[in-house]
Amino acid sequence: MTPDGAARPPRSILASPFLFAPAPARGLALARILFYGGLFLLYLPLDPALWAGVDPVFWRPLWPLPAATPPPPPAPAAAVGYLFKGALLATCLGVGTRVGAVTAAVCGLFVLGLPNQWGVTFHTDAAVALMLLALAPARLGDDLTLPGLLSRRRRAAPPADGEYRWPLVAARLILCLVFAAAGLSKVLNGGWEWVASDSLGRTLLKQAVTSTPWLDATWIAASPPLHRGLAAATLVLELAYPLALVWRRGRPWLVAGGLLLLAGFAAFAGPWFPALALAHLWWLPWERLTAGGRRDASW
Amino acid sequence: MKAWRRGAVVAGLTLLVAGTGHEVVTGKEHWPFSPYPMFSHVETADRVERWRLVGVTADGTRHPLRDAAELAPLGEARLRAAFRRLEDDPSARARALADVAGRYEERRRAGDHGGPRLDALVLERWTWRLDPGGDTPVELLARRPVAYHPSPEGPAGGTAPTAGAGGTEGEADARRRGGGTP
Repeated sequence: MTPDGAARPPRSILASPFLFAPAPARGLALARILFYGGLFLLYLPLDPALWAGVDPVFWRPLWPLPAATPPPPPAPAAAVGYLFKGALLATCLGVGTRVGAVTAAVCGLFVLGLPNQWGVTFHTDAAVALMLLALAPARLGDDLTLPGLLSRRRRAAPPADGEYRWPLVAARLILCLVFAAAGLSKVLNGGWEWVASDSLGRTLLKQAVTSTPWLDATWIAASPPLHRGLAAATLVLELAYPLALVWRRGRPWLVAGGLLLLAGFAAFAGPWFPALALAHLWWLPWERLTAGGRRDASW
Repeated sequence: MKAWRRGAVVAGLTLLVAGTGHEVVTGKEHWPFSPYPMFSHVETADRVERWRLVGVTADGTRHPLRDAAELAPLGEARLRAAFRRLEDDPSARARALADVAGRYEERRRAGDHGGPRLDALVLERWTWRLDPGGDTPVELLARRPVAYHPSPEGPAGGTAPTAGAGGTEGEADARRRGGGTP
């Protein structure tokens, strides 16, 4: 209802300020530079040709590849790897940004998906592959590009537009989906027992001998109140993480908690998600940082 | 912003949510969508059994292969899953061992890792007892060699002898006490 008592007209999701309120191009450009630049550095050592040299006895193609798909030959695999890294760098620098972002997304599916075709699906880069796909059609190169900075005729920054907000929301949504899915999987597969039993304690001990965590977790496993408390905190945090999309006051805590969770996984259980940790930069208030410090009241 | 672009954005985001929701509900995985099921099941097993690769140098020193650089690009988790899958196929397992040993040496010569030169590679099955609140939270119960590279029985072999391989009795004992692959 409006203040004068009249009913509000229904608002289409296509006009949602949450997704499409005008935002400055500079915020998205800064996020682009950091994200694609960070991924370039992170994935620089990747060499898909190394996978192509592995004996096919290990090869187990997964969806959507047919079972009879052979492993890729080394030379084309290496070429796609170089193309992927070049596209990440080009997008970071704003050189041919549109082509770069699409190339990074397409090649990313191959380069990041290839390791999963050898018997075990890892979850370290899946969200990044989705982010690259989601960001591919975004107008990432409208500001702060290398050609623009080198040009003698400096162009003024384009006016604020919804085009510069939805990519921020899309990247954040993907992070929320990761944590929410992990939390819901624990609820569906383990239920209350996942928290109330010694499950996390046993998991930590198992990981200590089967993986390579950074720190010794036997002291956590030895204390049921401690590992049950950690299990409860993990579950609550994973399930609550999506609130960061809409709860501005709680956002810093939820996002910091998510990063802490990723660090905890690496430290005590073994798996490390550096690209997912990097992707948390999308939570920075780009809409406000580059709008002269004005409070963004649109959502 | 044009209406069709707005519509495409909404459709794309809806697809993301629906895809992840499908994976969570069905428990299936269609990469890059995932239900992120790591550690989501309740652990109740008191024992854990895992395959391990151990290198043996010329002077008989054992060198467990756990470092990612030494096992690149497959890594320990993928190799473990592969050797579990190839458990009933000794010839494929021998081929897999030869592949790991060959790449280890190739990368060692290239300076990609600092591991020692190995004379042999042994695939072992290790069994631990887990006791989260106990005085000894983790205890190694058995360590049984399963296959060698190069094979002590010639090129067609690759399978460890069943007698005289240290740990065989230990594992049988562990099984009697209720152990096994979780």
